[in-house]
Amino acid sequence: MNSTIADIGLIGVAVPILLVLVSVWVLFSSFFLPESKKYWAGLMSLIGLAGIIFYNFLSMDLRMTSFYGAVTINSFSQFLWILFLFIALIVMVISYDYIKAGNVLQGEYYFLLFIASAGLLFIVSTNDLMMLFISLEMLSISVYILAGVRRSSTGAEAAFKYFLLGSFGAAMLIMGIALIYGATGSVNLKVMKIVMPNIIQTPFLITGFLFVIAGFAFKVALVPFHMWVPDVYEGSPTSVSAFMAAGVKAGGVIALLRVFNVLPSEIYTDLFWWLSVITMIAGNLMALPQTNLKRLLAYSSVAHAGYILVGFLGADDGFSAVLFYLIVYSVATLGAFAIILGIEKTEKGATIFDIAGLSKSQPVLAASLSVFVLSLAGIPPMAGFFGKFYLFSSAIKAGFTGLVVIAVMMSAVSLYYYLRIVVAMYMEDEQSSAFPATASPLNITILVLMFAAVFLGFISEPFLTMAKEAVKAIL
Amino acid sequence: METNIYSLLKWIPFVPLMGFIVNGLIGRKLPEKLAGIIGSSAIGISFIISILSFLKLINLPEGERLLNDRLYTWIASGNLNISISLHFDALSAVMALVVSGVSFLIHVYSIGYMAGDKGFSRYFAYLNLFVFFMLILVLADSLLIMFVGWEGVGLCSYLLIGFWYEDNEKASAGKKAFIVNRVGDAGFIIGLILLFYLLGNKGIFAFDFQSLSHHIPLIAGESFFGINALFLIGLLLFLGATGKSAQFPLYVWLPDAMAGPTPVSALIHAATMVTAGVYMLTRMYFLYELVPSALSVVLAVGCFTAVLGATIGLLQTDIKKVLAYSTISQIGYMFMAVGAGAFAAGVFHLMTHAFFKAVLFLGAGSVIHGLHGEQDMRKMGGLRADMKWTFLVMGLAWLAISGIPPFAGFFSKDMILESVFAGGNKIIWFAGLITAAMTAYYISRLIVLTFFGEKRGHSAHESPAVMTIPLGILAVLCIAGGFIDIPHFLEKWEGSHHEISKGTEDLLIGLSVFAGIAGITFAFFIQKSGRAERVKETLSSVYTVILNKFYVDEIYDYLFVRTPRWFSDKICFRFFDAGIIDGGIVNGSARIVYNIGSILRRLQSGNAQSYALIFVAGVVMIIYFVLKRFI
Amino acid sequence: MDGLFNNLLSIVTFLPAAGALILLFIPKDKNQLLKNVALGISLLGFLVSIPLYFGYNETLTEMQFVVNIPWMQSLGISYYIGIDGISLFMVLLTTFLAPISVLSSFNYIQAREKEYYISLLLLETGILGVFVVLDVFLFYLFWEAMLIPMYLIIGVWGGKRRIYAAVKFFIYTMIGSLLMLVAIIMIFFLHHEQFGFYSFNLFEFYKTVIPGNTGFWLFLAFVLAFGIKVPVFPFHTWLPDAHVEAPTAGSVILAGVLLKMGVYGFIRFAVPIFPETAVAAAPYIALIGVVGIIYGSLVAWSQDDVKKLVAYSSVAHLGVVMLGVFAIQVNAVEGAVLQMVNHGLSTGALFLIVGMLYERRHTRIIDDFGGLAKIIPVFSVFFMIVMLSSIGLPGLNGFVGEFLILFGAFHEFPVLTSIGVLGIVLSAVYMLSMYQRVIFGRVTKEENKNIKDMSPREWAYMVPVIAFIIFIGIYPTPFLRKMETSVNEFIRLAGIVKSAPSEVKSNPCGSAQEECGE
Repeated sequence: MNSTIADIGLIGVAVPILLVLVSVWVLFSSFFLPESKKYWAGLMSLIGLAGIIFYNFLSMDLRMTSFYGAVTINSFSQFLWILFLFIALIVMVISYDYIKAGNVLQGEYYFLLFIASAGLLFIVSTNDLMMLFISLEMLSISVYILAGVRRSSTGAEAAFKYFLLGSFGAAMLIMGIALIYGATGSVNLKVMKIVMPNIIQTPFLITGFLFVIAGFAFKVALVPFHMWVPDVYEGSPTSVSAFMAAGVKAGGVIALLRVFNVLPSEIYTDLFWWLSVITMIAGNLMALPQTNLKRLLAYSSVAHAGYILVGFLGADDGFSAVLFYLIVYSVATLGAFAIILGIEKTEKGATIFDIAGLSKSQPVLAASLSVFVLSLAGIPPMAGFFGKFYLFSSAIKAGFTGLVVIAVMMSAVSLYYYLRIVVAMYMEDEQSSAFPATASPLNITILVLMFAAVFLGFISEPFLTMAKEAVKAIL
Repeated sequence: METNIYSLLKWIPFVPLMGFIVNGLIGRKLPEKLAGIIGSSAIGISFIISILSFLKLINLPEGERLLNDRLYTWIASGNLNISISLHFDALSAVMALVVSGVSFLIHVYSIGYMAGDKGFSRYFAYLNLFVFFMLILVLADSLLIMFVGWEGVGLCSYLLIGFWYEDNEKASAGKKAFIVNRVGDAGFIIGLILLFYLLGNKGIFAFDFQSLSHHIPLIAGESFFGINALFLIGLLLFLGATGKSAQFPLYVWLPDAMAGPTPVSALIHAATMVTAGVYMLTRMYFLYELVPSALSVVLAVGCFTAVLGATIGLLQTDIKKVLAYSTISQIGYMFMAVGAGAFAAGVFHLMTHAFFKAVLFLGAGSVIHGLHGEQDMRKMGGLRADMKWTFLVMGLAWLAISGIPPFAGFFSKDMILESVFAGGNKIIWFAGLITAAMTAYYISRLIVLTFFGEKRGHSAHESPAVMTIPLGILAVLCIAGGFIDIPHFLEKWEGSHHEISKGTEDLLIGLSVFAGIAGITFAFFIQKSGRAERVKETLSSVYTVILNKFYVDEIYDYLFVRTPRWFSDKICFRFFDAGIIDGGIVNGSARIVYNIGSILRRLQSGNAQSYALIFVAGVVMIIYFVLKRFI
Repeated sequence: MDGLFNNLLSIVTFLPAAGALILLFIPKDKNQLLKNVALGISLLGFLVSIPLYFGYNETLTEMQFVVNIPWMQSLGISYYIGIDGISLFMVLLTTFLAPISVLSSFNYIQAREKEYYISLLLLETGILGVFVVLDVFLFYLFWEAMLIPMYLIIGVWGGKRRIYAAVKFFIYTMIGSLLMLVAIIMIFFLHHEQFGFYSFNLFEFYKTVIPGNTGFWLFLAFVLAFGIKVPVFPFHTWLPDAHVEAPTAGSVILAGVLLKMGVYGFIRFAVPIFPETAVAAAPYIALIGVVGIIYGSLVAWSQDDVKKLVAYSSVAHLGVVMLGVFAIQVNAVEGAVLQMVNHGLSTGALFLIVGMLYERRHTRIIDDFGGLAKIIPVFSVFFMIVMLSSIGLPGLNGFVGEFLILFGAFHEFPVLTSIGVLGIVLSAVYMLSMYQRVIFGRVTKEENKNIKDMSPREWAYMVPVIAFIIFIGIYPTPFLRKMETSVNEFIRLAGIVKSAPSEVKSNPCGSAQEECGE
């Protein structure tokens, strides 16, 4: 059989490929840049990424499959590509000054970010478990390195832990996929979705799926597969933590969602119910005593994984709610990490004591951080409230009221540690010296994100309709 | 019934109100004299208007002696529609005249008495406000409006008792008065609500006294939680009366109320306010006549209070305290009348009592004034030389209260005893007789200790004319008062009249007069040459009990102040509120959640092996969780 | 209704927020300007709200000044506002107290005034929003959003334990509200099942039939949310802390209007949405109310901090109001609504009084005072009037409300009501004792000897309150008349026994608001 480029449908994967190309260009050019000009790498990446996003917008309504069905471009992937590309862009922008200061190898940093993003893009644009695994590894491996890109003891430790446990997850994943293939003779989720009803659920098959679930749960950081999260978030460069919290988690969520979508509910619903509950409870309770902001956000991200699972149980409404929630959650989390990046003095990021009295020295930063945490806490009128509202209402519609009651109670608990941040900034006396208030890309991004966090909720309807469209594509 | 609109009526209370506003707002800037004149003339005017209205009233034919003045709708909600309107019939006429008249005299008297007090204008402002509320109470056309006046006078009494607020004793006395009254008021308001409610059920929403008197029979049969509703209402309203009129068990505030300036004691705590209860019951006579059971309660309580007050009065040494307990006992007398169904007699005694008790208080006041604030009778004596005029008027009042004919007290008191006797309550009647004797005794004792014997310490000076003249006028009323034929004027309130033979009547009169004389002579006999001391020794135990007012204050203090106070502080607040609810449930649960968090956090050991272990454990767990149904 | 009136309500609601926006652009060091602008805005807000009273037609049962603009059709959420005779007074009370609380903060607030006045104005908009919205989703939005500024006001400008109080206030309220949110969503879907379209329109919620057992739990969620806000015993413990720590204006708003949001919630939401359940539960809630009366008064009696005493007295007063609302009888409910206004005035005034004391002596402990009557007579008179109104003396506003409540409630719960009357006695006990210890007696403390009497500014904000206290006392009819129809409508709604719709309706009750009338 002879195949041409056309059959492969290269155009479909143009965006990820462009990402890779830009990354390579940045990497190599950075080798030849003199020390003083190294920051051009950053500029180039930003410009490149911006261009790619622009291109993606142009090709928004592209629908096709490439590589003989390995990659599918549909409303679902398009929706998430935009999201992921923006996440990548924001991460690059907020870290621009930090990287420019030469804390890490600039070329490598951007290169890895691009590759990771490409991996993310592939995750959401495939129906093939194998492909899913590969793209996830593509993402993971680059993030492992990113975690340690700051060649210090903490960085190394974080990277090592992440890598070690990550390969655990990977092993689970591949094993699970093998079992599934053995049982069903297919690794294509679309196919499975169709045949699943007629397949007897043998323990083999189930174990396979459970391995897969465990593997993804690791990325999503569901309890008890979350242990790496606080240490890694704390140890990695803050911008990388931000990318993990927003990007990696989102990728994991989507992967898990795709798998969950094919599972026969009567067997797995209870499991996800319990995973959600313990994740919410453990995540929130463990966040309570934290004083290091990065660790605190790490646990909060765990808790949010729990909320997102609530959406899983909410059927297709829930799925679209999950997509919307990923947006608002990423906005708030990126914003919060951005601020930490702006004020941190040590590798381990900032503590709650560092931001005491921030509202006096940095009223705008303080206000923004308050908006972000309130959004995470789901207080109206912040976007986070709308996100939670959609998640929970979908679950209630599906009849999981008990789960939602637990979820809201946990949100009430979470208020305590989110408010602690506000308390520190507004109600405690200034301890830390004033931070520089420049119109840096960082601060501008923070402002943008803050407005997003405030107003996204009020204009949520179009996003929600888009998300609904997207979800139709994978059902 | 909206006939005989008489728009002058509203000015009877409103002129004093204006006096209050003027004195209240700019009084402090006015010269003393002027403030006093404004205050007094305000009352004077309203007295004149009362007289005019009275004349208008008696010119009306017997049947429809009633004037009305409807101002505006106060509360309109659902079917409830209560309008501020005034009601001037024979009864309110008498009351209005007594109130405004006596008040006027006392206002004038006060100009002298309060001269030089730094709160002079404030005093007159309060006093005017009091008269305003008192007249509202008297002229009110419905129970609710009456209640406004009722609480209003309570407020003024609170303000005036605590007039010299810098002395915490006095301030507390005021507070006590207000709170004890509130207890009664609670009864009043519940009774009122119950009454309105029952009538409302019958579709009656007009609550002015006219229509009340017509519609009460509709609910005569009603029972409420198995108790005859009217009986219940009667008792509840009477509870209000016991508060305002210092009857057992709520009389305890009146003696302390003597902390106020003496004219206030005379006006509020003798002549007018404290008799409001009697007035209210008389106002509601149509209700009480339907429930004799309630009346007999009133009779019993009245009688008991009369005896109690008189007994305590026997041994008091503070001149004002004696009069206070005498007031309590005298009002008990009025309630006996009411209880016996002889409302008119009660009001009659109310009036005469207003006269002679006012004189006694004002006289006492002028004595105190003369002795620069001395109130202990043991430090007085032999004042008849220094204070001839005061002695004279007080002497008249003394004879009046002792029931010596032809003084005012005699007629009213005798009438009460007679109607009680006629009612068939021989024991009550006898108790009343004894009380009469005791009354005569303690008042005579007061007179003896103050004016007779040799001087003990202080020498005194006679009070200025501005004080003595009002005294004189009142003294005249102590004589003339008895001949005003109130009973006939109020025959509507005469009550069921049991005829008794002329002979018995004479006998009764004789007995009551004898009781009075006996009391007086005994007083003179015993107060001479320390015979009192010997009696004290022989009955020492009884003596101390009575001297300490049967320890009622102490008991109340323990039951109704200390215990609840302790309960509120230790049990409600510290134990339950701060302890259980807040400390335990609210903060407790928060603490628990937080601690669980910090325990879980320990799992975050930081070494990768343990993480891997937990990871595997997790995998095993979920596999078991899902597969257990297959195994 | 003519052109202007159509948007009047929106203007009233969002004017303060607009003001906050203006303040945002005033440099923070221009304190006087900030104050004046804040005052100006709040005053303007009050003036603008006055036409609501006169423009309101008390003969109509349906909502007035209605604006209904679809917002999220797919969920049937719309910007739907309007007022009836009940919310009318809540709105007026809010706009009336706003300038007063701004004025009372001029000296009290020394630090970070800009942020302070911004929060205050945002808070006002939040509260007004709660009172005017007729879309349940929007209601929840305002209900929670308004927590943030209040939280800041307590937490930033409060006293020593302000942080504890603020966080407690926030989380305490949140727990209840979140459960209510769950309940709201469930009703939302029930409505969809029964009528075939999504809508958060309040009147659609009224129509929704809620099956008995579920109904009980959902109603419970509402009761919890509103009960915590009121607060009813035993959910009241956040209140004393919040009050003691909050700055004067905070307490005024808190007691004046925030607590009313709870009661209003019962009237507007809990009872009409769950008529059967509410009526069945009424005796128990009334009982809780009466317990609150007695308990609150008793605890108030043993306080040594004036502010805490007033806070507990609020618990008692709102107990009376709850008794009135759940009597579901016309006099009682009218009394309750009126009493909400009264409580807003008298307790608000009490907090202003306490604030004046605090500004002068920087203490609120009763025993640090004494004999003030001699030094600041005018203040003492104001204090006296306010106190008397608070203990419900006839002739002042408190009595009218209390009497109507007691009279009306007596029809339903004679025994409970009679017990509740004891609260009237107790109120005299703790108030008079406090007043005596603060005002009467000799001046024992040196510091008290030379404190100033009321300043013109204090006159300026006390006199209007006192004026209303007296006016309502002697002539409440204008208030009662305006609310009568709406109260009857409330009682009608409470009496309805819902039945499922025969056939599924087609057109959502959205833009066209006449079929939402009821």
